Parts: sequence; C-alpha cells; structure tokens
Amino acid sequence: MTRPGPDAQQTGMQLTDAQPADRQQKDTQLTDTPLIDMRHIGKTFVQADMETRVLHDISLRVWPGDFLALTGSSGSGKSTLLYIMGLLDQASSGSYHLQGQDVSTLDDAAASAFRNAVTGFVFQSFFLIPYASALDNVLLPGVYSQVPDRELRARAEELLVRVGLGDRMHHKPNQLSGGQQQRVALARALLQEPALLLADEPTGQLDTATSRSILELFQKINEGGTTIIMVTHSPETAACARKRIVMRDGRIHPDIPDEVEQPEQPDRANGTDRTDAAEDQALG
Amino acid sequence: MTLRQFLRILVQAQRAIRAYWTNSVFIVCAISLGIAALTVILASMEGASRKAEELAAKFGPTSINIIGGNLVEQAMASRPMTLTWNDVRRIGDCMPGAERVSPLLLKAAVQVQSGGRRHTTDSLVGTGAEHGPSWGWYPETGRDFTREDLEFARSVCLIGAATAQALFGSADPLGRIVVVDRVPLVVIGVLTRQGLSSGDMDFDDRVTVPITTMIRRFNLSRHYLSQVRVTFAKSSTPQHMAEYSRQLRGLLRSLHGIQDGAADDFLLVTMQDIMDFVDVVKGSIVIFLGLVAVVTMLTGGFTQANLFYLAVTDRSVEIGLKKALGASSQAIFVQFLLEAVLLACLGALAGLAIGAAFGALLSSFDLLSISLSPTVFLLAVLMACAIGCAFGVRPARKAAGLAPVSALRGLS
Ligand SMILES: Nc1ncnc2c1ncn2[C@@H]1O[C@H](COP(=O)(O)OP(=O)(O)OP(=O)(O)O)[C@@H](O)[C@H]1O
Ligand SMILES: [Mg+2]
Repeated sequence: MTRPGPDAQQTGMQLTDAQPADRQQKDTQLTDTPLIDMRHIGKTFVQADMETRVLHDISLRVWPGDFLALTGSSGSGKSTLLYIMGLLDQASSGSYHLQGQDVSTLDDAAASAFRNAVTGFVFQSFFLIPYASALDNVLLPGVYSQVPDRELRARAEELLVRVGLGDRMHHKPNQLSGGQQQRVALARALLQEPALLLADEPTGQLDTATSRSILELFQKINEGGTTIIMVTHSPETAACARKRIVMRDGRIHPDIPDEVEQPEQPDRANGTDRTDAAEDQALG
Repeated sequence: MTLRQFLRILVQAQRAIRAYWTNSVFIVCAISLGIAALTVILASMEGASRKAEELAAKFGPTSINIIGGNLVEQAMASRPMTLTWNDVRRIGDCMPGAERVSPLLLKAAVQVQSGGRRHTTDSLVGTGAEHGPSWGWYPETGRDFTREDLEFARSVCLIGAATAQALFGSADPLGRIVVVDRVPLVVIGVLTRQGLSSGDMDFDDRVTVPITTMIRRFNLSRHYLSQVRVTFAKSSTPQHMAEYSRQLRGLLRSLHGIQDGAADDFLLVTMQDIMDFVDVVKGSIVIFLGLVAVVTMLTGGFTQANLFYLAVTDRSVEIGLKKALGASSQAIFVQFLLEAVLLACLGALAGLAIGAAFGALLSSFDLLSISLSPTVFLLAVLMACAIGCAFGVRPARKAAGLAPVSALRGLS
C-alpha cells in the first residue's frame, strides 16, 4: 500500500476542487481544463407524484490523473452522483462538462459514444455476462466501437494478462472467484482506454486480501494516467485514493476527515462520518 | 450504425439465443407451427395444381364426356339413363368436328372371380370403341379390343391394374379366364395404372368389355347408355371446344325434347370443367388451411412477443450493462430485433421440416398431394421474418428504452 501520499490534502471550499496536490509537478502533462467540471448539480427523482431530492447543489472539479474516493453513508447519493458522472443518468439541474464538453443535455447516441470511449465502469457485483468467457466479457465494449477486431483482441488479451488472468481467458464467470471476476470487469472497463474510470464499491463483495490486490491494480492504472473515481464505504479502501470526498444527504461534506491519511486512528474532526461508515460496514 | 457494429451485434444476438435456449426453443416451436401450416397450404396448392394438370392431361383437351342424367339436379329428375344409341348416331351425323363418338355403359360393384379368388370390382364398363384411342387409355400389357371383338360381342376383357393385382397377384393375367356374373371372359390386356379415383371408385379397379358383349351377356338395357365420349380433332383450341360444347348441348336438348327453361337431363364435362372444379376444391383447401395458418402464426407471434417481453425484464442487467459500456439505445434495439428475427427464421426452418413431414404423411394417405418448391421455402422464410419483425418490435423497443441506471438496479 503506497497511498495516501503526504500531500493528499483537501480544502473545504464551496467549489470542491479535487485537484491533485502534486499537480504542480505534473503541470507539463496536464491541461488547464478539468476532466470533470460539475456546477450546482441537483438530482430529483419523481416517482408517482413523490419527489425525492437526492443531490443538492453539487459543484466539483476533477483533474486528469486524479484518484478520488467518494465516501459517505448509505443513501447519501454516491452512486447517483457516479452515474451522472458516467452519463448513465442525467442531472435534474446544474451543468456538467466532461473533457471540456458540455454533456448535460446529450442525446442518447452522443452519450453512449462518450460512455464507450471516455468512461469505464466497474460495479460492486461485477455484472459479467454469465454465458460469455472472460475474454468475450472484456471484449464487450468493443462491440460498440469502431476499433478493428484484431486490435480489440490484442488489447483484451493484454489487459487480462495485466490483471493476472492470462491463464483464465476462456473461463466462464462461474468458473472464476469473486476477485477474478472483478479483475475481468476491470479489464473490460479498460478495453476502450478510457480517460475516466468509475467504480461503484468495486471491493464491496470481496475479502480484505482480495480487495487489497484489486486496489493495487487501481493504483497501477491510476499511475498510468487514468483518472479514477471510486465509491467506497471502507476507510481503508478510501485511503488508497489520493483524495477523498465525503457525501452526506446529497451534499459534499465540507469537512476533511483526518482518517483519510491514517485510517486506524480515531476520528477527531468528524464524528458523524465515522459513525456512518462504521454502521455501513456493520450492515454491508 | 456501421456494418462492422451490425455484425458484432449479430454475434451478440446469436450468443444470447444460445444462452437463453429454453426460451428460444419455446419461441421456435411456436413459430414453427404456423410456418408448418403455411408450408402444407402452399405445398398442397402446388400439389393440387399439378394433380389438376395431370388429370386434365389424362382427360384430354379435345374431348367432351356426356354423362346421362343431371347429376347437379338429380333430386328432381332422377332418371339417370337418358342417353341413347340414337343420340350417338345423331352426334356422329350432326357434329362435323367429332372424330370419334364412343358410347359407354357402366355397372358398379360387380363380383369377379378367377380360380379360387373372388373380388368385387368397382365397375364393369362396356365400351363401344377401341379403348386406347377413345379414352386415351391404353393397355400396358396385352392388346386392345379390335373391331371384330366389338362387332361380334366376343367374351374378352381388359382389366385394371388394381383388379389384376387383386385376382392374380404377381402372376400374369393374360389369357386367363375371369368370371363375371357367371359369364366367362378371356383377359386380353391389363390397362396402365391411372392412380386416380373419384369418390369411392378406383379407376384402376375395373373390368372393361365390348359394349356389345355387355348388352348381350349381362342383361342390360339395349337402349340407354351411361356415358358418351366425343373426341374432336387434336388441333381444336379451347375456343373451338367451348363452341363444340355449346352446339352439343343444343343438339342433345332438341334430341331429348327439352323445353326452353327446363334443365338438361345430361351433363357435359370438358377439361376446362375439371380444371374449374379442381380450382374450387383448391380454393376451399386454401381457405381452410389458410385460416389454420393465420391462427397458428398469430398464436406463435404472440407467444414470441410475450416471452420476449418477459425476457427483457429478466435481462435488464444485461441491457443496463451494455448501455453502461457504450451501447446506444439503437444498438440494443437492433440486438433484440435481430434475436426475434433469427428465432423466427429458425422457426421457419423447423416449420418447413414439420410441414414437409406432415405433407408427406397426408399424401401417403392420399388426402393431399404435396409439392415442396423453392417458392414455398422462400415464402415461409419471408413470412417468418415478417412475424419476427412485427412481434419483436415492441419488446425490442422496451429493451432499448430502459434507462441504464434502473436497468442495472434490476427495476423495469
Ligand atoms: N430511481 C430512484 N427513484 C427514487 N429514489 C431513488 C432512485 N434511485 C436512488 N434513489 C434514492 O436516492 C438516494 C441515494 O441513492 P444512492 O444509490 O445514490 O445512494 P448511495 O450513496 O450509493 O448508497 P449506498 O452506499 O447504499 O450504495 C437514496 O435515498 C435512494 O433511495
Ligand atoms: Mg451506492
């Protein structure tokens, strides 16, 4: 475990600027456009005359190359925010720029092209196609791209080797362990070489040792330049990220809990968050 | 959508079909029944047309059969024997186009025996002319009647192939004696097999004798005839035949003294009449089987639509996932529609096989004659594609319309 770095500090300003602290050193590679630029994002679900406000006035910037952990209690809107970031859902209000482009009101074709080329998704319950081999699962995003078959196959095989499944390419998901399945899902998310990798509790169903090896993979991927936003309940997992954002009742919590840096130490600044996290772990 | 993406989605569709094979089997079965009915209907139509042509060819395009009595309105004037020898003479005199006028006498269900074997033949037929040229029906083995046989009322006979089989089995009937109503007759020939039947009467089960022999030996009326066949020149066109038929009818009406407005006491049959009749029969077959086909096909389509509709809910995670990975709604729509069309095409192939087997069964019972052609094949497949499209659109649209997030959360 290499994270967190000593300078993974965060400032509690109104516009949460998730700019990596070591940005200055990488300035040569980075542009001045944030990868994600969300302003005053709100989300309201309407169900049978009942309105549920899930996100309130979320403003957030994420710079290329960052690795963000999104934590918070259950129901605080983490998944909802992640889905909006990945264009799987649309915000009810506010503006969203992805790679400098306004994506708040894209039509289906354009949004799916973005999902195919710019974002990669990893889910808590893997979501592998049960009847397809590991290799075919990894190849799935390629179906909707214009990349030639041969190149897709080469990439998929290489990715499977990279996640340590070079000898399991033709296994079906039910012949793989949970950790192996999540590796396949991770390789699948990377097939289209996305700029942004979104993960919703990727280690939620895995034991500690397996989680750790998956998180190491995430860190390697991040070191390769891919921006990662990861939803998690676990402080240890969050500690692997460079930066941590805490959500509460659909808002980004302004306080920065210290346990980001030292998860094993008791929380000083923010008792509530810690209690929530402990509760969630007990539940989940 | 590019061709490359389309082909990749086709692979996805084909994989899903195999993965959800129980569902697929149900849908294929449902569709195949409709296509099977359609196959039988089309094949039997073709079979019927072919049979009609055969029948017409055997009947001969330039002949008219006159049948005594009015079969159509038999109830009111049931005097079947209305044709006389006088009619035969007068037709020969008054119809210059008539090359041959052959009288015929018929007796149904007659006992025949030979050696120890007994057989009830469907008909005993007396013919007033050589059998081959007048009926277009020649002996397969042996010889035809000669003028002498006819003139001197010789005790000779031609027998049908079925009669020969019943009395002699595989032995050669030529020269053997058969006894009909205590009259011994020498078998001089066996007629070629026709393979036709009308009602209960098998054309191949008959004993044919010279009409003179029939009248003298079998105690039948000397005045009345069952049928008269008039054969015109080979070169006569259908227009000529229609005109001959009209003239013949006028002649017979005046010979029989029928008042204007009264019904004929005879029936004229031409090749055209036979074809028309077959068309009517064909029409009713088409209506019946067509209804069956439409009903089964609709049932199949609805089954497919419902199973598919349910499957979309079952497969919402797959749909949501694919959308999350970059599938557009259009791509999902195309995949599900392709699945529906592929299944319908599989159903079409299965249906063709079932239809062909069922058709073979029907024709082995002589109920229908079936003829499978590329047209039938093509129509069945096109029909199936149409069903697949028509009934696959709604589920496919539902799948395409699923919001990725709710699909992933397993909601609908
Ligand atoms: N389709 C929907 N309709 C109505 N309410 C919804 C819908 N989806 C989510 N919500 C509500 O939005 C809130 C936030 O949900 P979300 O899944 O984002 O929470 P979360 O932070 O990811 O929680 P967890 O840690 O348990 O995954 C919840 O109260 C949930 O009930
Ligand atoms: Mg969640």
